[in-house]
Amino acid sequence: MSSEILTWAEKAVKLAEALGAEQAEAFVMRDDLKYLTVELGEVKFRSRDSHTGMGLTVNRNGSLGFAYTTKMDDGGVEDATRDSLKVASVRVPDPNFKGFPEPKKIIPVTGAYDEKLAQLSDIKAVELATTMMEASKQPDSAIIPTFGVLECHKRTKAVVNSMGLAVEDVGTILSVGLRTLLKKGDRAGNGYDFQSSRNLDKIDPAAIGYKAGELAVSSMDTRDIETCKTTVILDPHAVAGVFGSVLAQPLMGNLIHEKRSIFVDKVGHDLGCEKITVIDDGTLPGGHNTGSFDAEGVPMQRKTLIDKGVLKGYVYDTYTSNLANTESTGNAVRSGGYMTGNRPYRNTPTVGATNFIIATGDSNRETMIEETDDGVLLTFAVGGGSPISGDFSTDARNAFKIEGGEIAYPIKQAMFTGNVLDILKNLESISKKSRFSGGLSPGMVLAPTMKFSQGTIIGGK
Amino acid sequence: MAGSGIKGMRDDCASIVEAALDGGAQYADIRLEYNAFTSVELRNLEVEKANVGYNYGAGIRVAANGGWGFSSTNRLDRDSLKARMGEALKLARASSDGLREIKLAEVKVVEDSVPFKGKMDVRDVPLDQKCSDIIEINKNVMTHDERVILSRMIYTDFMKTKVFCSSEGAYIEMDLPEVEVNYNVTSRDKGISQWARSRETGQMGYEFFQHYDIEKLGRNVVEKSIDLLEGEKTPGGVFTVVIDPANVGVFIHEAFGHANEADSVLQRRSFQHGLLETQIASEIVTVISDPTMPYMKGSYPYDEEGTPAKEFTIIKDGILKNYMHTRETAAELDMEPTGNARASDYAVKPIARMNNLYIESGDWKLEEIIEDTKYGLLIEGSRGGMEDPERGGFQLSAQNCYLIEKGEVKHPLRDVAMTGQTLDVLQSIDALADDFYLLPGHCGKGEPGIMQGAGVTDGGPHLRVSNILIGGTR
Repeated sequence: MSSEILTWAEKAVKLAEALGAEQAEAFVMRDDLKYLTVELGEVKFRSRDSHTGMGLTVNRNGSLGFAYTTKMDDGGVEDATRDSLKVASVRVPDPNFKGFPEPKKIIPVTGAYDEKLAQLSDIKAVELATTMMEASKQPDSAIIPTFGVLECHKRTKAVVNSMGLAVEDVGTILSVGLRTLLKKGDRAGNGYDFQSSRNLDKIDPAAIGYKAGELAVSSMDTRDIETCKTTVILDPHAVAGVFGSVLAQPLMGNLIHEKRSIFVDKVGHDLGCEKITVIDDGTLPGGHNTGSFDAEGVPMQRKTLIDKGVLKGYVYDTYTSNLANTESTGNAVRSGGYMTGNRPYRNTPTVGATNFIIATGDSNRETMIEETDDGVLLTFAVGGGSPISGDFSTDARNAFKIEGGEIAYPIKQAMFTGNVLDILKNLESISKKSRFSGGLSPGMVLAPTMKFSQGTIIGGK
Repeated sequence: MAGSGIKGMRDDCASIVEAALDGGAQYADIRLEYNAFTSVELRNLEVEKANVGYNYGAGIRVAANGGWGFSSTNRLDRDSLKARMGEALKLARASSDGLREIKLAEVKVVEDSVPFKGKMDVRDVPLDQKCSDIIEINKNVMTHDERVILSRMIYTDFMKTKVFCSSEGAYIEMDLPEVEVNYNVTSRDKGISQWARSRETGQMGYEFFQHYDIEKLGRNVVEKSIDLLEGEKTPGGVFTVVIDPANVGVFIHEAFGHANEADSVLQRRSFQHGLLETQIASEIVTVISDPTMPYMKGSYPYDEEGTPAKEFTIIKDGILKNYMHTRETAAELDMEPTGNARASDYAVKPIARMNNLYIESGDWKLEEIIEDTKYGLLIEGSRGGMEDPERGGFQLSAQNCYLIEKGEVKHPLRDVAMTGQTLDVLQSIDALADDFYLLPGHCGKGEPGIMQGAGVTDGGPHLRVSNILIGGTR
């Protein structure tokens, strides 16, 4: 028996064909969201939302048209279908469009759905938030948990096209984050941490709270430093902040086609850093963006993109893989603008990372710090860089000066700048542990802690 | 089709907020929305992408027992809305221990209908006409310089019908139009590619193209991309900078504005907490918020709580005078409501947001500021920025940059990022030009996953600041 969303997708494709489309592809998603915020230590706001929306792409005479709607009734779906055909009529035929993807065998993925998470009760949600807030005060009882969010989604997606493809998938995800403030007289420190997981039991609210609290304590009494070339250690959030834009983005097939990437024509090239291996894996068990199929119904895959410093390939959706005479790697994503994960039906597919993995190494964070005589540790890096040139210039947040193998003091303001190819040549060690962080939209970076023997830090002194 | 029937639901809306009160709520409101949206993206002279979309739904907000509950849906039949109201009421009750009451500042209870005031409703212009009109413009822009390899022109329009109904008796219907053009041009020479961008937005109908010179906007973007081709890498360090209205706008928005939103202040997430009536900027700085400016992207007649929009002063002669409020934050801080409650659509709750925010102009001529600067940078155009409202820091990426030496603008530079502490920068503003420009922007606020978007403008005059940290690439 077809579910409600699969039925809407099938209906829209049939209607489009009846109204003159040669082919059509419907993407429908239902998102059930539970959300709460905590403010100054108390649960302040709660919501429950349920939304269904559809994006419809049609091909008429070789021209593509697209329309979306959240008015999911017969009238709303018909309006969107007629509009998608009108859009096709204003576009010139696209010789590079070779059709929507053929159905392929879908291999189920693991860890993308958790019934406990789907059924998360109001009481349990408040419990999680309370545990997190209490833990944040452990490093210092004066810490204020200023603002926190708990966001729990159950998303059901369906893709149907005229090639006979009809797939449906359901996934869950929980994201929890907390900001903290510690103020003593004129001195102040801020902290932040978050986790997200497909599985309720993998979220550790006490660890998030403690980390956010600890960061506030250690960030008090900042000092300015001078501009220097020095050893740089990036924690996972900072790795994602720097490498999302200058390592992941330039590997996307659309940027390669448009020649807007530092990695154009570089397959087989040695980037000069044998320590770096990069994998995009949409099938990673329990991965943040893991699913059995991508935004156009193509099975997700695991691809090694950089192997011990040698560039192996790029990632593609169906359209860009045709341009490159290759196959889709299952990397079609739909972004939803500001609500990227929540409204993907608003957009046609494009190429995007899924779970972008920077392979772990054999070191650990403590050793990296101990073995650093003089250096800088970054917790967050904000700003990114250019996928065309590989140059980056990021604002270092919650950064620390390292002296004599120890964290010496927090840094008031600094920027970390450079070029991705240069900095990778200075890669000295990678930690065994890694964690998911943002840095891409909607993709996520699974990032370790990384140490570079030399990087440029612009200080405020 | 206009509003797809949501304007005919007044009785349903009234009965739902009434039922919330009967169920023990202290306050309830419902917001309905029907937004018809079009976008056309040109890649040189071809329509590369075109979208039509409809965003349709309702959000119900309930205050009870000292807590807030919210529920949204895109099913607008009476039974669905009733069920959602029940859900919101249940969540509100469970949010809090019931020992407090939600405080809401009093606002005038308004019944009003704001019709479309433009000349040509975008929904009456056929899609193929929109396409041929913009292709004609882009033809002239592309041929402005032979080094242009890619000219992306993105046209968007919408007509948004909104309904607001509260348990206090407010009922407001609005038809809000917008047309926007974004330009993103890539030029190439001697093996190097560089891109530049800009946009123009007007809250009006299709008469937008008579009101603004879009071809000139495009030609200007071409010229900026050419300057970048000729630009040298920028040295890092501490500089005196003269920044243009685009960067003034991003600075006043990102570095100052976000931390002035009263929800951040109340949550102790803002460096502006406790700074009211103190000198936070140099005496020449006055900052205004004004959502009543005609055609501006950040304008609106009523905010998402039915509060009438008004102009007000945030910084007067360097002294912090006000925060941007929702009804709740105004009541909590015992201040006047300012009408800054906004929501990106029906599906999310209103929060304190910016609208049109600017620094008032001064009396220097731009040329005088440059002549008066011995060594520094002139920074033009923005590639965005990030705020850090807690610590009062910011990061801005500029598009174009020129070296100033001995009072003269010299060669172009590229890849410029600025960072600093907002209060240091505000105190270090020592010259304001007599020019003035507001740039439209898309602002995001919230936490990952629940980011809310809002149309804003921000800007002011060219101005000079000493001691800005530049993260160069040289």
